[in-house]
Amino acid sequence: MSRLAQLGRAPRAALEFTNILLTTSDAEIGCTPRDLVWSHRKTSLYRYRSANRRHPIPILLVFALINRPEIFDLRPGQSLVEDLLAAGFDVYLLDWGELDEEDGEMGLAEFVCDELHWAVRETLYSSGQEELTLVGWCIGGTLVTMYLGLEDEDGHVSPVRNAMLLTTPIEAGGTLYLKWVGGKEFDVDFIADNFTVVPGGGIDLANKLMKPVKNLSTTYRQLWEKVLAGEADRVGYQSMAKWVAANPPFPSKAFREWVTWIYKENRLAPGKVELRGRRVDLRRIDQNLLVVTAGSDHITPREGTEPVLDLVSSEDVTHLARPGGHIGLVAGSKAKRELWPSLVSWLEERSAA
Amino acid sequence: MDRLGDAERNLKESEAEFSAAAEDFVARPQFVSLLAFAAGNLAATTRIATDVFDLALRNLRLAGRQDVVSLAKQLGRTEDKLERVLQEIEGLRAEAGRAAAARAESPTVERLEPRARKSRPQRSPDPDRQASTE
Repeated sequence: MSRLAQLGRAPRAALEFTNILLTTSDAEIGCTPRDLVWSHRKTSLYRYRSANRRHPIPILLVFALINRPEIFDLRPGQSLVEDLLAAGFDVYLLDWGELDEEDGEMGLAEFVCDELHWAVRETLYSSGQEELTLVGWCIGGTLVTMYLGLEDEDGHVSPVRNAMLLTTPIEAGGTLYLKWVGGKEFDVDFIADNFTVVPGGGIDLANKLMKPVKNLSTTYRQLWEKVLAGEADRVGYQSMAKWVAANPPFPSKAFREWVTWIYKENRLAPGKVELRGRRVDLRRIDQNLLVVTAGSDHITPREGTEPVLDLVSSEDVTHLARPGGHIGLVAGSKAKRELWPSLVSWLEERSAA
Repeated sequence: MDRLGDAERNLKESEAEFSAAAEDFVARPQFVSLLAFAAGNLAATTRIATDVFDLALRNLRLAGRQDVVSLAKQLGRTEDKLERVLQEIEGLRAEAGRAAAARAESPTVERLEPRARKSRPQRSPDPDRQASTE
């Protein structure tokens, strides 16, 4: 496009650019039809039914506490849930809900020993199966890891056949968070005592400050250039922007434990985490395991996500080390053709009756 | 000469340099201290503000956020109990189902022992009839 044409297009582009930003909240995300099969407090378990089910083992998706799980089902045509359904799996999604002040006393034990444990039970009950696949992403993956590593109660056999950990922090190595909250300056107890829930906006701002220019300026500059060139993907931009902006509050007890156990004291990898008196030992994990790590992940770098590979007892372990960012690798525009086929293929081989 | 193009290139180069400098800045100990202080101050001022506001509402005999949160917590505790009751019921139902299935599959079907007949008063034997005995 010539400079004169660009100049002529500029006023309209400005209006379009502004419109895209102002209507982002109207974008539809998480559109795949689903049924609510169970709920407890703010937690909900949804079921997506495959019209062409070929694999009996259902999949339970677990995301982080600090963002919404719609990232698994971002928009039609760019949805991991859609791909899994098309591949013949029944898919379940665990939604932690919009936590608020009344949930401030929920710690990691409540999320792992209660909500996640009960969601697993309800998934099996709803699907009529005896085993399932657990997929955890980011903090969701850490919660899944804790669940799988928990000391057995009454010798129960775990119903989890396969586990998939996507950009999951096990240690804090290599991340800027370690510098920010791992030291003595950051008084996590003071923060947790005075905030019943840590504001989601605050956590989002902290995430953005890790790459301040890129997140607060470059993203908008790139959108403007695409709008000016007439190449803007409105739906793509708005769906991701809407999801990024949805930041539920982080219950203060869970926040205190997360910062202390992962960043300040690095308890998880050495097996020093205890949930309700039961120790979490990653050597107890013997499920078929797929670990996905991202090369450009500044939130959970490989230094923090790879250690799980050496700690588990699983015989069947697969590591997909791919280029990409924390979210972009799994939910970005290239994920559908570059990563999801590998995930589906891995699951298909391990989900027979 | 495409001055607009040059300006764009310069802008992008400047942005890249500024981006690298900003990422370096946020990793420095000084910024870490600043962030920690800012977070602590924000927590404290938020707490003070909400407590003062809630106190004002309470003195006016109006329901404040603390009251709503208190009710929501009670609701949560009730829901916890309900969930555990439902789990017990599901567990009992599953046990009953397993027991019923085990009984149905059992190869030996227990014969019901005939109940002993109550003794009847002896009657004179009727030569024309043959009494049947069990």
